[in-house]
Amino acid sequence: MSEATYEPKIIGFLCNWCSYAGADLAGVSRLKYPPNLKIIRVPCSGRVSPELVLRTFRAGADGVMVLGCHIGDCHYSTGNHRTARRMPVLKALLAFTGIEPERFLVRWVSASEGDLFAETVREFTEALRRLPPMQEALERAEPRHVAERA
Amino acid sequence: MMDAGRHPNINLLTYSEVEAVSGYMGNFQVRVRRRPRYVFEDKCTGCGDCAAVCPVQLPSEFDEGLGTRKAIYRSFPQAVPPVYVIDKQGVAPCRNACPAGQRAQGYIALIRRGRFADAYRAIKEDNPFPAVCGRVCNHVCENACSRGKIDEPVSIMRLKRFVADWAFDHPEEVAEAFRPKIEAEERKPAPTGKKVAIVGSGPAGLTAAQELRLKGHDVTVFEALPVAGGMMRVGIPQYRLPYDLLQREIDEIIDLGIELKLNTRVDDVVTLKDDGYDAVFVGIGAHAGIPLRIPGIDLPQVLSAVEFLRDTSLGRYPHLMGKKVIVLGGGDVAMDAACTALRIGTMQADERGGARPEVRIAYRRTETEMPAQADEIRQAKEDGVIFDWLVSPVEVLADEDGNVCGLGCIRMELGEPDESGRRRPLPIEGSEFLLDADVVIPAIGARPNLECIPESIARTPRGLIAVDENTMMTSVEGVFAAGDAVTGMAFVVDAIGAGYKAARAMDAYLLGEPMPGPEPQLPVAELTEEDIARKRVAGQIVDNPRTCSLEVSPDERIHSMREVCGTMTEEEAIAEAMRCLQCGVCSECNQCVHACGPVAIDHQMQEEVLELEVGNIIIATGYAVFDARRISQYGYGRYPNVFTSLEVERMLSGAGPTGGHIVLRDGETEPESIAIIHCVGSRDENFNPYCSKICCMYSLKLAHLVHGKTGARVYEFYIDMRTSGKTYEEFYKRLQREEVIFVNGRPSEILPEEGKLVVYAEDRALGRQMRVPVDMVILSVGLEPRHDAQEVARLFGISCDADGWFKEKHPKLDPVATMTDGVFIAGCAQGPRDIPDSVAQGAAAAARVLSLICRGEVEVEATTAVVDEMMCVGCGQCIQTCPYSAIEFLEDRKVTHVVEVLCKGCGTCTATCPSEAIALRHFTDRQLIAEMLGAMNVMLEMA
Repeated sequence: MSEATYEPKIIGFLCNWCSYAGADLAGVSRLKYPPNLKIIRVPCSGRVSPELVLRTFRAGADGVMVLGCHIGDCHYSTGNHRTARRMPVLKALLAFTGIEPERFLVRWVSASEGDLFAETVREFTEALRRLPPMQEALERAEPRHVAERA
Repeated sequence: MMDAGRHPNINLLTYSEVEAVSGYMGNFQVRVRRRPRYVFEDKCTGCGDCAAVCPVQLPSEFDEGLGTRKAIYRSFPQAVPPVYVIDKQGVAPCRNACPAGQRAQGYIALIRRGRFADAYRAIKEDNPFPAVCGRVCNHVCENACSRGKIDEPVSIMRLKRFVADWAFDHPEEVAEAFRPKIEAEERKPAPTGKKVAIVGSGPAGLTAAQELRLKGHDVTVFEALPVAGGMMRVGIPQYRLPYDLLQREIDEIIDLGIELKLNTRVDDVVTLKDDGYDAVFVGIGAHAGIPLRIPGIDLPQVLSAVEFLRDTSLGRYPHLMGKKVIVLGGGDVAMDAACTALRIGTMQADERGGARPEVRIAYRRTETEMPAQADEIRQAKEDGVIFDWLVSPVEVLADEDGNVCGLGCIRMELGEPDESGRRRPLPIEGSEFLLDADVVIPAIGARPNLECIPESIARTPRGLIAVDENTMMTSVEGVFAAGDAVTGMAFVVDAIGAGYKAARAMDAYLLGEPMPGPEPQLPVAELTEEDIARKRVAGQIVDNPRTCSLEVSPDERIHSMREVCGTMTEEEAIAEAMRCLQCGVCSECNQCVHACGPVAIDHQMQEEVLELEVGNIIIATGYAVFDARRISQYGYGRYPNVFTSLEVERMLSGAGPTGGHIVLRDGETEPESIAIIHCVGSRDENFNPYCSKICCMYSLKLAHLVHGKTGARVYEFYIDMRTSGKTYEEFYKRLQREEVIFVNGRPSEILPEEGKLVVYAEDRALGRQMRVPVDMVILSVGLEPRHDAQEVARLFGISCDADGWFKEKHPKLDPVATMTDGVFIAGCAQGPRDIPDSVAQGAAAAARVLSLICRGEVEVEATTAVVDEMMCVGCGQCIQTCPYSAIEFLEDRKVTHVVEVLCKGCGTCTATCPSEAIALRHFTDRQLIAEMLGAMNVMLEMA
């Protein structure tokens, strides 16, 4: 697979109240952004556990993003505080496992920031294009994983 | 306030605190603890007759310490409810220690005010024998006295004696003090027609007789001896307790209408019931001396101390002139016997010109182990009694005529402690020796003489009368007993306490009412070291030393039976009473009870715990005032004429401590120049960074009023003038025209110079330093959250913000709700605000609650979380992450449980759970993963 034409596959977990509404706004505003992102709606960014993110990488996603409300604006008051605390640890864990931490993005996008949403998808897609596809990384990781079990 | 207080649908629980809250919106269980007011709210009319007679005065909290209040008080005239409350910290330790429950702090508080007749009444309510106990009591109260933690205990016993002696010299004042002032006390109980027989006229019997007579029963007292008083009369020598004083107290009891039959021995107490008595009280005391079991005990000159003291008290003196007398024993009876023998022998020697007796006390242990009171031992030594320590008697020797001539003794040494905790005396082998003796007086204890007690009355293994500990009834129905006959040798006050107890039960028995159970345990006001330190700082501790009592010199006193100890003067008594630390605050002197027409006071009230079921909670607990002492540069608490705004508010009030006059701390001088300083404790990085919102307006108000009252020159030092909203700016403008001098600059410090207070500040408008001397400085103190806000928040399941105010759900869109459904906040509890805003918030919170009540139902989320109990390990992390306190821990199963009505479905707990034991309905891990895999498949196919 040539790096220039490889299309990153991105899964995004968007919180219902801010970032999902922001994505809706981007759509309504006819803003252009790459089709590489598939969105999964969750009630709050705090719903996203590290395991969910890891499973998504293992399923072959080249990048995972978690978008939530700005700090202080969470619809559930402190949900995004949990996200803010969990995700840096997850980033460090990814680095430890050999997955580039840049594949994982956490950003706060409010319901009125359609343009920020579009820009985020654009930037992230481009950044991921410069990294090798996740499939290759998984295949590299597999033999080591098998060797340990033996 | 009145409307709220009187509304039939509003239950006002004052003096109460919420202790625990559980449940959820619509179904809260709230536990409330109500402190006792000691006043019935539905009976008190707020007339204030009680406060007028209360002897205990304290600084008034409502008047910011500028004025005083009494221990029974109402915070301010318009208080709601308009009833009084008694500031009682508990039962004073002195009362708690006394076997008769004498309210010593009560009569001491009255002595302090010079109200001796009232003090006498207070004493007599708990003790019919003040002149006796004031002389011979073992005063356990003094051992418990908190003053003893500073220097020496208050001389409680001798203060009682002072009052008793004073009362006998001032009968008119005493009669006036006893005269009933309220209708309830004028009514005497109707005669009941029941007859009571009291056997024995000692303290137990006479106390029971008095109490039963006052309840309306017919009382007859049987006394075998020719004199009444029991051990008080025939056991305690005159030089300690003069007979005429004792007789006066006995007569007061008999004069209530009691029949006293002297010289009348009862053969069988139980048969008195057949003689027409409905109940019998046995108070025969312990008048049989315990015999010393050594050879020679039956010789004629061996006299048991109890018999010796009784005979001498009745005027039958043995021949003691020039004799050698040995008293055996170490208690008060031994001291009494020795000193009495010394006096009798000396009086006989004076009369007939002979030699004085030689009196010795032989005791088998040392002075340290002697149970006699220290003063008694000292006086005996001063009188000339010789003490032989570590000596035990072996045999009484007689001469050829069969008269006592010597006492064979053996020396002792102290071994290991026995059951009494004292070291056991052991004889030293081969140390026998002889003491010359003509008279031997064993004083080793006394037992009751049970001749008149038939077998039907059960005894204890020690040979005393067995009784029920609450009712004092014996094993025979209707026969009660108390005093030394039940306990063995004890003190007068023990017998008095037991007499009261028995009378209470006997009264119930006679009227066919249920017998009393154990008395309720009332909390005791123990003073800690911190409490004492606080009292000292508040200037409440008087440093008088303990009054010494005058004693007749030994050379003089042994020549007669005259009383040895003198009584205090009025000045000494007041000075001694001022040493009292007033542990309980309210002294329980009962003056308020005697003044309360509606009979609204009950000193026995207990605290109440209420369990309330409520649907909604509104928290409106207000604010705390910033403590101006924390800003040392402004000198509050050090320079007298620096005031806080609240102190000045009280001074401005016509009903306040200064009658509406603005004066300096001397209480007289009107200030001619005043500085008002804004933002004290507010807008201050060192203390509270926020603005307290109300201070600018109230400072302007103070400037206006204070200038109006005094005509003084008023300076206002401010940073910004915050006068937003309707008419406030206009008020500021008006004051600018009205000679108030506004200085835009926060003062750096205040220093006392040449009799004035100088305010140092920068005037920012003029760009120069100012030095403004004034007579008075007023600090506009800001608002703070109450200091227990964090605990209160935890109690109700809400949170506090960064400054400590309760956190609203949304600062703009939902200021009265909290994150916890069903719990609302209003007023300053949520943040500093003035009255109009607080009222608006109160109405808003009420409206929110009403809408919930009217609906009767609540809408809840469908996407709630649920715990799989099998998987849950009980780590509780989910509880900590939930913003709605919607997860509870089940103690019985040690797992968590989601309260569905509170869950909002955010899923934070689901992501937190390390055991994957929580699922969020409609957003489960399976569902999300399936979505994710589906999306991935689509993208992979596309590639």
